[in-house]
Amino acid sequence: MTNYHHKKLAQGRWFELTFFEQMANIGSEVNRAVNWQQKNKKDLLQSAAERALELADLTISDKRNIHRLRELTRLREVIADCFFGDNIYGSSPQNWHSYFFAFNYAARLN
Amino acid sequence: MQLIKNKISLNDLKNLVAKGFGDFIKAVVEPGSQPAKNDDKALYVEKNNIPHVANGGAIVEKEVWGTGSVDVDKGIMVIDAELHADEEAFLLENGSKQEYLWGINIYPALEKADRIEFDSMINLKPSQGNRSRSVENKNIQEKIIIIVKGLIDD
Repeated sequence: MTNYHHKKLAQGRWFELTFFEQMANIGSEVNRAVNWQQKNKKDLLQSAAERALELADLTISDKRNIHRLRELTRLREVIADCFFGDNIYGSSPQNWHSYFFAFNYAARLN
Repeated sequence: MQLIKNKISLNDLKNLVAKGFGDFIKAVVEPGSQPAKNDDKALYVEKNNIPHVANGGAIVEKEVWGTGSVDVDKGIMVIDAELHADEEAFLLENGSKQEYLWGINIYPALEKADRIEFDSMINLKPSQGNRSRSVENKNIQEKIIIIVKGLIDD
C-alpha cells in the first residue's frame, strides 16, 4: 500500500485537475524543494522533493496523460536527479522556474 | 479544510500538519478587502495585541491603507487542504473576491521568521502585477504576516 503525502488527491481529486493544474502543482513542490535546498534545510528539502515525485507519479498514472508520458517520465527523472542524485542534467532554480511558470500561467487562465 | 476566524493554537496546527504533509500546512488568506498599494512602504498599526511589523528594522506606528485604516481583525484564513486552489474555491464560494486571496504555507515547527512561506500557484495574478508564485507586494506580505500571527496562538 502506498503511503501518500497527498492522500485525498491520490484518491481521485488529482484526476479531476487539468494537465496544466497538475504540472503547476508539481512546480510548486519543486519550487519549495529549491527554496529549502538553497537554505540548506535538508529535511524540508527531502519532504518537498518527495511530494514533487509523488505528484509526478500521480500525473504519470493519469490515463488522460498517456500521450504525454515521455515528457512526464523525463520530468520525473530530472527531479530525481536534481534532488536525490548528482544533478547530472545541470538543473538550476532559474530553469525550474522557467519550465513551470508557463504551466502555472496556463492553469490560472479561466 | 478549516475556516479560521478565531485563533487556532500552535499545537492544534502542529497536529494538523502531522496528519497532513508532515512539515507544513497550506493556507489561503484574505487580508481584508482593501486593494494593494503600489509602493513598498510597510505601514501597520498595532491593534488588539497584534504585534507591530518591523520594516527594515524600524517599527512603524500607523497604517494608512487607501483612504482608511486597515482593520486587521477582518482577516480570515482557510487551512488544511491539499491544494491551495481548493481553499481558494471555498472562500470564493463564501463570498470572497479572488483578487484579495493569497496562498501561503505555514511551517509551525520553524522559527517565526521562517514560519510563513509565500508560495502558491494561486498567487500568479498578472493583471494585479503579481507575476510569480510569491506575494510580491511587501505591504500585502506584511499584512498577511500580521493576520497569521493574530490567528495562531503560540
